[in-house]
Amino acid sequence: MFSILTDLLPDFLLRYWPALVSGALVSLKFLAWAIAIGFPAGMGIAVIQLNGPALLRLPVIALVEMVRNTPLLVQLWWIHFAIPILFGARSSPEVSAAIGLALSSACYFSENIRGGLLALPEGQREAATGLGIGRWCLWTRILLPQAIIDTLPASANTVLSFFKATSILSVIAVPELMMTAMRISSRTADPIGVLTTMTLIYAVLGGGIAFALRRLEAALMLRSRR
Amino acid sequence: MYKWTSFVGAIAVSVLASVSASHAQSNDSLTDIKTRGTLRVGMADSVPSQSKNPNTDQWEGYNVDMAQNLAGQLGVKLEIVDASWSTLIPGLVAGQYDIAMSDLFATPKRAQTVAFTNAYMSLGFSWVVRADFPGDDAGKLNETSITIANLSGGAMGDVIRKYAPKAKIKEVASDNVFSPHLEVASGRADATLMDHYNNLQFLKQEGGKKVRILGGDVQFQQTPMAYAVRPGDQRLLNFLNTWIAYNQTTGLSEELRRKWYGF
Repeated sequence: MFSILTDLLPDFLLRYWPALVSGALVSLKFLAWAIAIGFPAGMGIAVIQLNGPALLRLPVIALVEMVRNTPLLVQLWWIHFAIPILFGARSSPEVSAAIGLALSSACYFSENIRGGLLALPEGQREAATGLGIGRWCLWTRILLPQAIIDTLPASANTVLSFFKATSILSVIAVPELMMTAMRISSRTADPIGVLTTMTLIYAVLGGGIAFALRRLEAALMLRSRR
Repeated sequence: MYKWTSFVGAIAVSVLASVSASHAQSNDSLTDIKTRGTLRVGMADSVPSQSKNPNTDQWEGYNVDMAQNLAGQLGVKLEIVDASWSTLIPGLVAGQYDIAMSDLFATPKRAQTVAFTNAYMSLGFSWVVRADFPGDDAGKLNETSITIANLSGGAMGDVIRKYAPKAKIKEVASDNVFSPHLEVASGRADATLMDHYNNLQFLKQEGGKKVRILGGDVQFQQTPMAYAVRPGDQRLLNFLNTWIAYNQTTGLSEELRRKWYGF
C-alpha cells in the first residue's frame, strides 16, 4: 500500500520533503517574528502618532511613510547592504530579514491601529478625563483594546500579506520555503513539479492562517460585544 | 548559474561604500584574512558548482571543495556566506566576504565592476529550442519572427545578440536558472541559450520533453569561469591566480571537475 503511494509521488518530494517542511517552518518563524515584534511596536507607533510629543511624532510619521511607500524588497536590500557599510557590522541574511520584517510590519500594524483609534468617539476620552482616569489607563484599558478589536479584520489581512511577503526573503538568501523550493528545483531540474508543490504548500498554510485568524476574530468580537 | 547580479545594485553599493569612508574596505584582504583567521567566501546556488543541500543545509559542490582547499592553503578557517545571484556581487563590494566563489562567467563587461582571477574552468553554450523547431540550423534563429528567452543579468545576453541580432529577446528576471527553459517549453519563446550542462539537466525532466537541444549535442563559445574579488585587491588576486595555476598542475582541478561535473 505504502509503495503504491510512494510510486505516485514525484521523486523530488520523496527526497526533499524534510527540506520543504523546514523551509515552511522558516517562513512561519519569520511570520511569527513579524507579528510578535511588529504588533506591539505598531501599537506604540500608533499612540505616538496620535498623542506623542512633536519631537518624537515627526520622525515616527516620517519612518512610517518611508516604510509604507517603499517596497519591502527595496528595504531588505538597503538593510542588508547599508548596515555593513554604514556601521561596520556584518549582517547575516537572517538578521537583515528580521530587521526588515519587524520594521515593515510595525508600520503596517500601526496604521491599522491608528485607524481604529481615530474611529473611536471623542466622548470616551472626555468622559475618562472627567472621571479622573489617568492617561496610561485610558490608553491601555479603554482606547487600545477597542481599537485593536475593531481593526482585527484589517490586521488579519496584514498578517496574511506578511506571510506571503516572507517569500521575498529568498532574494537575500534566507532559507525559507521559496528559497528551498528554488534550491530543490536547481538540483532536480524539475521546476514545474517543485513550483507546483510550493504553491500548494503556500495555499494550505495561508488557508490555515486565514481560518485561525477568523476564529480568533470571532472569539474576540464575541467577548467584547458592546 | 549565470543569472549573475544586478549591476545597478552593485553600483549603488559602490556609491554607498565610497561615501562611508569610516568603514571603507581594506585593499589588502589577504592580510585581513590571515589576521582574522577566517576566509569568507560568498556563494550563490548553482548545481553542481556550489549549492546548499536542502536536506542537510550544508554547501557542497566543485567550488566548495575548492574553497576548502584554499582555506587549507592559507591556514585559516573557511566561512561560506550565503548569497543569492542578485546579491552576490553587491555583497562582495559591501565587504560581506573576501571572494565570490561561484561559477561566474568572466566577461569584459563584468570585469569593469569586479576583478576576476584567471579562469579555473570553461563551459560551452548550446541552444535549447521548441521540440517542433524545424531543422538544426542555428542561422534560422536570426529572424525577426523568433523570440529568444534570456536570463536577465546573465552572460548569455551578449552571446544571443551576437548570433541572432534580428531575433526578439525576451528578458526573464528570476533566480531560477531554468526560467528561460520554461519560457520555451510553454511556447512563449522559441529558443534560449544556456550552458550545455544545465541544458542537459533540464532535458532529463518532464518539462524537457517539449524542448530539444539544437544540433543534438553541439556546444560552442567555450567561456571562462573565474572567481571575483573587489577591484584593487591586488595581493589577494595575485595569490588566487598562483593557487589556480598550481591546482591545474597538481591535477586537483581536473579531479574535482570529474567528481562534480562528470566530464
